[in-house]
Amino acid sequence: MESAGGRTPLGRATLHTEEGRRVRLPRWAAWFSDLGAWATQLAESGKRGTVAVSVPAIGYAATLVGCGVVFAAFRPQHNSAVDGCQFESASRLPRHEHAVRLVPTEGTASFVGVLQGTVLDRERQLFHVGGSKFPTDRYRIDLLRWPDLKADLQANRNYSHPLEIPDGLDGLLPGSTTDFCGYSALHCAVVSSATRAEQEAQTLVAASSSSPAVPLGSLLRSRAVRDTGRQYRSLVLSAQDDPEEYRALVADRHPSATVLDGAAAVCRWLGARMAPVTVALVERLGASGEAAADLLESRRRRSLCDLPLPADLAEVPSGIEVLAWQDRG
Amino acid sequence: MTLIDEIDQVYACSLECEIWDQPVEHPSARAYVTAATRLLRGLGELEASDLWRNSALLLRQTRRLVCNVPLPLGDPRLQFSGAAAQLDAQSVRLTAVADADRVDCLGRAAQLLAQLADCDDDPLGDCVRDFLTLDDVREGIVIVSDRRFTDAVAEAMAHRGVAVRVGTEADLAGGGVHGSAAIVGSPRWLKPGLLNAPRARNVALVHYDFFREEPRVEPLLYGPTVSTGVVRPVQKSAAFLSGTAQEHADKAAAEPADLLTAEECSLGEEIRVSFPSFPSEGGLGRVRDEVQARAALLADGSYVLLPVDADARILTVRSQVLPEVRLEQVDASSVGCGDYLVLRSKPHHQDLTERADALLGADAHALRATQNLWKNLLWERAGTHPRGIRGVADDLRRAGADTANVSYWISSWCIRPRSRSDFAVVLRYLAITADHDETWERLRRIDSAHRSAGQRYADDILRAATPERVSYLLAAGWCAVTPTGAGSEMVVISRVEHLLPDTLLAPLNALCRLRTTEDS
Repeated sequence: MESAGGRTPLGRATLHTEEGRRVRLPRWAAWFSDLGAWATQLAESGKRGTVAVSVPAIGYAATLVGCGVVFAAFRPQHNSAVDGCQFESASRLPRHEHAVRLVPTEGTASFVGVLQGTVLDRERQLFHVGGSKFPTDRYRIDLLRWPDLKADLQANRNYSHPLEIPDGLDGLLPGSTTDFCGYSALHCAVVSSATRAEQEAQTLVAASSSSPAVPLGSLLRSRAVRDTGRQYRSLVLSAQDDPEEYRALVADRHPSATVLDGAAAVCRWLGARMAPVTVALVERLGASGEAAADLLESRRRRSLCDLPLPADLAEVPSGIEVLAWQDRG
Repeated sequence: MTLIDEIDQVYACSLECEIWDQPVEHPSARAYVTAATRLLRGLGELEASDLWRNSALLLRQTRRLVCNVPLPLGDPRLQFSGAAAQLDAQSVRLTAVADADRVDCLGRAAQLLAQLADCDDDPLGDCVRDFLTLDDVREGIVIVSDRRFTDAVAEAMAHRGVAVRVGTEADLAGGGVHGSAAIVGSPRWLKPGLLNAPRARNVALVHYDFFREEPRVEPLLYGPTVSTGVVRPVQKSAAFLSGTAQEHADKAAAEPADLLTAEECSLGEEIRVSFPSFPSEGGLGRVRDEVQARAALLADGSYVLLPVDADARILTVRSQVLPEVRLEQVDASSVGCGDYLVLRSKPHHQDLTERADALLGADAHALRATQNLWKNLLWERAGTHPRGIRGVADDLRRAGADTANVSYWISSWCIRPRSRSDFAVVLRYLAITADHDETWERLRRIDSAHRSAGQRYADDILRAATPERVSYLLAAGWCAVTPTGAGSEMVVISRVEHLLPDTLLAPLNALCRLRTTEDS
């Protein structure tokens, strides 16, 4: 069977079965990943929209859409060259205020803590983070745009967070592994069941039949709201949480898309509008599937216009029903 | 099999699946259903009258069983011969007092049902076996609408040489994909998801040929969707003939007007006619312990009546991290589709009262007297008030009560009003001179004993809900557990599939317990 459009590398990826066999990732799986990339494209073109998708079974769609959103929304931040030194800019930052991650220009030693300032010590330029000093030529700073509790960070002097870069990841990423796994940005919020999201994240995929396999979760790099110091590119929220509690927190970090995993999440979270584009996944067999469909329809009635699927996504895999529209304002 | 393989199978199934509409022709079954339907339609509103209510209910029940259960028509579990005898007796009793034509129809229906009870034919079952044996029977499944018949049907199938799994629609909605599924019932009883997200490569919708509707596969989303393998045509099979060739040759041409609608032989319709609907204006207060209720249809094919008023509580199963579950007592009025309810065939409240009294020990008697005093006085006042319960409620509101849920307050379920200030208003209104604080405290003790009793009962159930039971529950939508501890009666945990929109008037002892329409 033909692979999907190829917006993301998952169309060429292989899947590792439990028995250790490698098979081509199913076409529907690659299609979901590409759909996520399209959602990002819509958001980046300044559109607000909803992509309603009905599926025959809940499972994997949200994780894969999330991977696609992250892949397409990633922008390089890492400059390991000499001219990327951030001593000057960091000197201008207020002291004791920002939680930062130190991303190494070489190797994988990485640290998270509160930036206490910059120091000139015998002509060596140093970052002062979490009680220790780090040479500015060997580290770059990523301001953690997350309300990690300062107290938690300060309680751990030199909170060491080595970069976790699984072997085999590079063929599946849009940029350098250090950049992708070192810096944090919120590209996507996935409202799902934490247990299922975790289970799906452990599925092994590989860029090709010869490269090492990595867990699907390493492409999504999700964190929970209450994690401390964790590098992230997406956020996993529980469908049972209160949208009001998290709406502002997520929206302020400007993700491209929100993925609502299942009818229950759609019924509860559709109104939250945490990102320009919402991908609403509804399982047709679910108890609240019809309620979610009604809700989506009422939102569509207030929309500007329907959005056609791009040609590479228009050949929808069997079992899937999709309808996208542009929301107002 | 890994999780993603399972999901992949479902997507693959949506590509391969074929759905067949499989009508079954059986002249005797048709004759009975037609006779019953003509009579019921002719009765109209008379159906709710004391004269006709029992006969009508019996006609509905037997008609539903004929249409939905793939068992030999003479199977004693269907109890058709007993029902026929009852209908016959009722027709004799009605002879002098009711319309002669209608009584004749009833007698004729009783006769036709007696004939069905006497015959060995198994029209739906034969058709199911015919379909399932086209493929590997071990990968097949039979879906019936009522859990109570799954074992009987499995036994009857095995007895006739086809050992096959039998389940309810919830079993089909689980994770796996089956080879063939024979789904028995009216053409439209199945929830649409089972046809647009199928879990079997070959699906036969087995039903009698006298239904008005034809099965259709509907999409979920509205609008100009792009989709593949979601909707598909239902392929029409030739009718499966059951019964003697002579009967088929003799049968009269089908009158379109006699065709049955799926709704007419549904459980929901039967519940609606089993209880009077709640009058929107006046009328309430004729009977104590009769409250407004809604019917929730459950995944196992039974149903439960839930009081509309808040305060009445029911046990639910919640699951955050599978397979761990916890039990919660929630307002019965807040129950919605997808909730899992813990139910028994006896009223939860009665059992709870007994358990609570045991906890209260020697004080129980005196405390219950306090509880009954204010409720009895309120009931008496409602009896003497010219506008009954509504009049009392208006009085209480005028006297400063925020809520005046009088019909619930006088019912035996209520221990005390939720608000202490409302209760003070009630006591003043009834001129009860006892100390308010002390009375409130005494009622609080009863309330607290009910909560503890409920908690202990919940703990017993939780111990019995093993991970295996819970995973069955999640896959099938219902499971049975037998809690340890005193009075260990089987408990069914079942998912709410559908809430009927009507508000009915139901006796308290019918609420919050597992019911089938055969219950009195």
